[in-house]
Amino acid sequence: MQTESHNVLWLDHTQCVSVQDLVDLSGLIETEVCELVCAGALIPDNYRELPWTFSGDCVVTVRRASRLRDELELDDHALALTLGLLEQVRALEAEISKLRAQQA
Amino acid sequence: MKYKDYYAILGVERTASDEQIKKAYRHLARKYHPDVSKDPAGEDKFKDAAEAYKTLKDATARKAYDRLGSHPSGEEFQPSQDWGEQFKTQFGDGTSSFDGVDLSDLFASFSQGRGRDGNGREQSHRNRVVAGEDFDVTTQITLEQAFSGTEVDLNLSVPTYDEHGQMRREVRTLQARIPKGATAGLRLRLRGQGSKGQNGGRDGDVYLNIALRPHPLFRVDGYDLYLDLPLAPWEAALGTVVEVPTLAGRVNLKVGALASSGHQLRLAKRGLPKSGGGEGDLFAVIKIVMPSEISERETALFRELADVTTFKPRSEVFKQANHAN
Repeated sequence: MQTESHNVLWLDHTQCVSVQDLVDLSGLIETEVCELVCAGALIPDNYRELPWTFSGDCVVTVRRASRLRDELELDDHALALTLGLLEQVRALEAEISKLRAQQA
Repeated sequence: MKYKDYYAILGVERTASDEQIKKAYRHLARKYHPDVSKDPAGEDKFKDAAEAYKTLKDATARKAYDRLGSHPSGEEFQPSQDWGEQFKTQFGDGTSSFDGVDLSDLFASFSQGRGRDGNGREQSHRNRVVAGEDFDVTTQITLEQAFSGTEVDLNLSVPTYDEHGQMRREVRTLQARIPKGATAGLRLRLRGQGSKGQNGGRDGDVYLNIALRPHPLFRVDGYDLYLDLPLAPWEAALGTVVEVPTLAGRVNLKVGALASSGHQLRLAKRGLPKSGGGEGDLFAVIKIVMPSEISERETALFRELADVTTFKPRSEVFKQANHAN
């Protein structure tokens, strides 16, 4: 058994990634990434400029999109809808977590 | 290797049609997919269903699986020599033994063994470009570890290939240094630390999902912390200075007079450090508490207070309720 020590990269707003990074890390193709942007499931930091750049947490979103597409056999529209609903669930859970934390 | 009954996992008969297999898989995937399920056991159930479906939806793989015969789930068995001969083009170069091979890996190498290149030509198992496997791992750390940064050991079951191209798994322990700035739900990436790519394929990554263990004192919201601050009624009325714990040590907190339950006192930058720099805040939430027993003298003083006060705590609330009616 080998033991190796490694540093980590944050996947949050402190990291900036390109469309190509998202393609490389998710297995989606560029067109699919662009469709997720058009559907509002993925928001570039600079929507009106090209090339688009994204916050590091978008890596988590595109990897989830890739898994859902492959494992639930979703088409583009169903994928965007599912990602949108999952984001709503995440936001509601964060709100519940905040209220619970504040509750004396 | 241990036998897995893929038909039982999907809940279908061995004679099920492709459509019935797909329907059964979709039902289980909707129920247990880790991105949509809250069932703690869902991920393992989904992995089993996905493994079963991946094999049974492929006519050749299903045929190979069926030829293994039917065994009780979990029973140790070995594919026969005839079986190895019949399907040798799909598994490594067919000369490898099946000792120490997992059934899922056997069929994973089955699909890899029938790869095609960009021009649609069959590629042999030995020269096919295969990206390394990514790993998604959740690791639980304490608030103190998140505050100071920490190291965690991750045990990964990584695929390796023998000289015949047969996949086996070995445990590799990675030590990941988590710097200050981690909080619940944050993801981190260890670039290239998943399994090795084959024939020029990229090495896989490890994605770490941070979970925080519940803390006996502090509740967490992002990088902010919340702490209950119990006060006696007279402390709330008169104001006081209390010593409160923070992750960096105890600090004195001044509570002004006439504090009410639920009021929050903010201790700036006493929360968790943020990944991009700066710190969250610590909020002390006032909770006015009573002793479980009070003496005769205390009772008398409270009676005296009740006699002299003009405070009517419910008047405003009930007035609003009456207007609403």
